[in-house]
Amino acid sequence: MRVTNVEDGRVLCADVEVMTDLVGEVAPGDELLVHAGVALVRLS
Amino acid sequence: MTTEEHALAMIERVRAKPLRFRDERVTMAHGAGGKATQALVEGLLAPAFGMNELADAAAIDGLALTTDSFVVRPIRFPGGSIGELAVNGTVNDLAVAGARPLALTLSLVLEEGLGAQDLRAEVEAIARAAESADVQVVAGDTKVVERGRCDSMYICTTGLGRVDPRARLSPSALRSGDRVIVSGSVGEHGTAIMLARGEFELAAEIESDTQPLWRAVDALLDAAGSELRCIRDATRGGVASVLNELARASGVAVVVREAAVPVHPAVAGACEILGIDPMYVANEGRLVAFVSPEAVDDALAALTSVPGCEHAAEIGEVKTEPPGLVLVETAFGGRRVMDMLVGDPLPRIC
Amino acid sequence: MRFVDEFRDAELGRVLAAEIVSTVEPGRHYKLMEVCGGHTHTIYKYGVDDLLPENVELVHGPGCPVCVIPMGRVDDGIAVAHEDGVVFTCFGDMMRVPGSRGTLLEAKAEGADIRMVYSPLDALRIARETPEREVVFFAVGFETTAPSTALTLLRARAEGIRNFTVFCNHVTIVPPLRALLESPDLRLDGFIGPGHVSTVVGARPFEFIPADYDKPIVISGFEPLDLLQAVHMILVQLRDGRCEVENQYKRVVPYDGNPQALRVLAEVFELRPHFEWRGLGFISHSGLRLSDAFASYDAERRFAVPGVRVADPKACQCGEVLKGVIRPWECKVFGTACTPERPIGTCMVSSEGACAAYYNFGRFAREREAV
Repeated sequence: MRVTNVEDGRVLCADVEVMTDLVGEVAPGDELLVHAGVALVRLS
Repeated sequence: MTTEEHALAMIERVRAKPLRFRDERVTMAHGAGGKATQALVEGLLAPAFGMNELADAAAIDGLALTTDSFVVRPIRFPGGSIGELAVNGTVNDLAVAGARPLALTLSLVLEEGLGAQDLRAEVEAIARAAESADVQVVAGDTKVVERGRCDSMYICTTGLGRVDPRARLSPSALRSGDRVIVSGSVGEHGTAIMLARGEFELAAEIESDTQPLWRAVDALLDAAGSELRCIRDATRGGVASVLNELARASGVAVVVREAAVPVHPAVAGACEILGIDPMYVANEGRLVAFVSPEAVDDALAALTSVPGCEHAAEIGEVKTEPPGLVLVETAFGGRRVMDMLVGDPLPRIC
Repeated sequence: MRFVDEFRDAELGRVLAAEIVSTVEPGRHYKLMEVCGGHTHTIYKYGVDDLLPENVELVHGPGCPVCVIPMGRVDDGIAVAHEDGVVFTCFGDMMRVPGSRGTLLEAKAEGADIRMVYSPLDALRIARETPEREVVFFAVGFETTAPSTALTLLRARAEGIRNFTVFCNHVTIVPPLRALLESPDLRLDGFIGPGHVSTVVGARPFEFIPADYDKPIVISGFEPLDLLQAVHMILVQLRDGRCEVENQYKRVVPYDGNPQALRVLAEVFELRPHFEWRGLGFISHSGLRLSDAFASYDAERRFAVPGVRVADPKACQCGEVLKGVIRPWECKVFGTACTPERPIGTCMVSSEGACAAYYNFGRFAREREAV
């Protein structure tokens, strides 16, 4: 999934909140492998 | 016969039996338009009323009669509202039976506390849709139930139409070699509703495709006449369910070329995330037509010039084997079965 | 409908298929097992094995975590769902898994408040929004989904949310593989390694397969081309007499996995001494439960769970299917007494179960040529 915005410490991919604790800092435009609401790998 | 062939033959014997209604309770699966719905209809309703042919509309003395109820939640969604669906849904059941819609009756069940503004909005939507579909609302009924007993409103419409003399439509008309056409991109209505419910916190620019289809049917009848074998509107359960019903009813096989099926990229994306195949997602303004190979080019040309059907496409073909089944040729070069839905489309985990 | 990519993939697919044919030893039969529900799904959705020669057989192992949940645990879940004030949440696939007296979907029809969610975060949100209800999340999945449950619990604790518990049925991937390899009725030539589990655990935990059991394993991605390439890589190993862990999914899977994820798992979960797998019996140290630090979030401690062990119906052969010993159609009740709408066993319920996948997609596959 692609990160669309980061606000108040929450990461959103097209309105779906994704937990990014396992992949570190992300910025809008980053591509993530997401499973059950958690980003497991940064793809880009 | 190998073990596999034997097992498959056994399965087909079991599947060929008329479906029986054996559940202890009604579940949401019975409303999804797939196997459970079919079991309810074939196993309980049809035998109770002595109905032999289960079509979208009944033909009586040159007239066609059909009915439908609408319980969509939320009542307003991108691309339309319950009122619009209530008109188009019934008009389309008449249209795909080859009948020009004449009149509708309208039954409203309203929830105590429904705002007058919302009620007015739906009544106007119904009026606008009826005008757009060139059909008259001639009679109706209104009931009110206590707060909480229905979601804002439920609507039931019954439609009367006149069977067009050009129409020679029936599942038994399907022949090996016939082509399958869909009148536009698939999966939009159901996806729009799922997103509008807000349960999935996903947002995308997807609108319901609700529209009246008599003009499309008229164009097809004009272009193909008796070479037009059968038409269905692909509502609950999507295009896949309609193809399965027809394959089963007529004992033929339908082979679909996956790459040829039009799907809006936003719908494909949302369905991918939700783990659902767009072929199983409800439409409200799409028809599936079976046409002889000789007439398919004319039929497509006529269809694509009807507003709303610009993306009509040929998506597959009728074959004799394996009877009663729908197969998909994947873009990758493989093949798979596209069976009837079981219950509601449930997404995968892991 | 689909994009230019898919046609290019089909071209490359044919090229790979030809290379596979030239790598295969004529007359030899190869049995390769995949152990990932996502792989089962891709294989059937795209008809990947239609492109393989007949003597390369793909077998489906216990890669679907829904498929291995014993009936007794489903009964336990239903019992909790019927408790006063409970909102019971689960993934979609769990709704139709049969317990001994019905499914969660049927319990919902009977009046239990059971809701489908896509992630445990959805369940936590319900707990946050309805503090007067007890929200329970039925957690299933391998190490792929366990981090999601773990992070949700960490959040619940950080926010001080008290009305949220987890009914934990997470399992780990290595023990069942070991149990499979120890099994006398199994003859396999190699493994296609799970793609998503390995993003968490890495490729390293699978080293025991070549080391102790002399079978090659290639971790694969989820595109049909990935799977074909992984199959090719296994066949090349076999041809060249090599036996090692290879990573076809390098673009996503790091050899050492995700250390942060493993730390989080270690903090929130501990291994149960043993856990029952449907069809495979009890396997030691294969299931997760919440650690003592998270006891107050453990549904099994908050609610009285019947915990009755229910034997599989006699007719059910899910165990043999899960081990890849029999093909779905070889099960005596396949397609007749056990169908997707009336499943006896879990292999027929989950869309990633081998039986459901074969029944729903794989029947009438193309004819294949033997090499």
